[in-house]
Amino acid sequence: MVYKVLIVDDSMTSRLIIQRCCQIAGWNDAEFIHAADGKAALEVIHSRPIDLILSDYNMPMVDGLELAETLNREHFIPGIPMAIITSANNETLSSKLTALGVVQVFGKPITPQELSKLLQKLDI
Amino acid sequence: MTQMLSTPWDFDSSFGRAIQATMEDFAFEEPSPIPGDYELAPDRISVIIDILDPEIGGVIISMSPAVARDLCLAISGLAPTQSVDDAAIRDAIGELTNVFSGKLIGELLDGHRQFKLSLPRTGDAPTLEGEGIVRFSVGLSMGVIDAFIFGPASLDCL
Repeated sequence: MVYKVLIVDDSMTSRLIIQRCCQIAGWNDAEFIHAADGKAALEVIHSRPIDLILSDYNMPMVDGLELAETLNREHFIPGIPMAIITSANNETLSSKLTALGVVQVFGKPITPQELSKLLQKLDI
Repeated sequence: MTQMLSTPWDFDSSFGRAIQATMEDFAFEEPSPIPGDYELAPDRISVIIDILDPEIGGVIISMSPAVARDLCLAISGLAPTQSVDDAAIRDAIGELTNVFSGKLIGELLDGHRQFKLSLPRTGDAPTLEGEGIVRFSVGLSMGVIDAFIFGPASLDCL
């Protein structure tokens, strides 16, 4: 089975770093789908199966919190594991996102080791 | 902005910890404090991020086009001989500024309080002079970058 990983970030640099971290963490054969904001991510999620969502928090159009709220309301999460990767990591935000079904909140930049632990935790 | 002298800094300060973590983890560079008593060239590329909530000012990272290109290559894991276009360079240093701003504000707010940053805006060097602005000069293997912290945040970063 080829896992489908949706990477959501308005920075192309950041999306490529996250993809590279996934590959170093062992997901060489995964299919990576990129979206530049939450709105584009929702279009992807509504149109095809996704196994994991790795999303930035601070984005134009629809940010990571709004994306998590929408996916929670539409019952996509926690069915699809979603992690947030943000430069604005703090306990208050983390609690808010976790309550919506986000499995983990990471500070930027994420490392392959952190992603490897997440993949083990999710057992996917 | 071109006349302002740098403020000395070390790795025990909020600024020092934030720039060290950013450079080592994101750009694979070891930063060092350097004296910034030189004038900044007008062709520098700068990225501005405002701290929106709480409203305590903002961050500017500024560098020469050559340093911006080399930093982009380092961040992207590309060889020095590879080419990158302007959009990739601006995106990479925008993200670098975003990561640094998050780490600095996290330091200032002790990691507990929620905060919101603006999206990075990349452009030419803005004109900044006067009180409430602090300049820090940072040595990297490819050259020097300058960081400007403005507003109330500038009072707590040392």
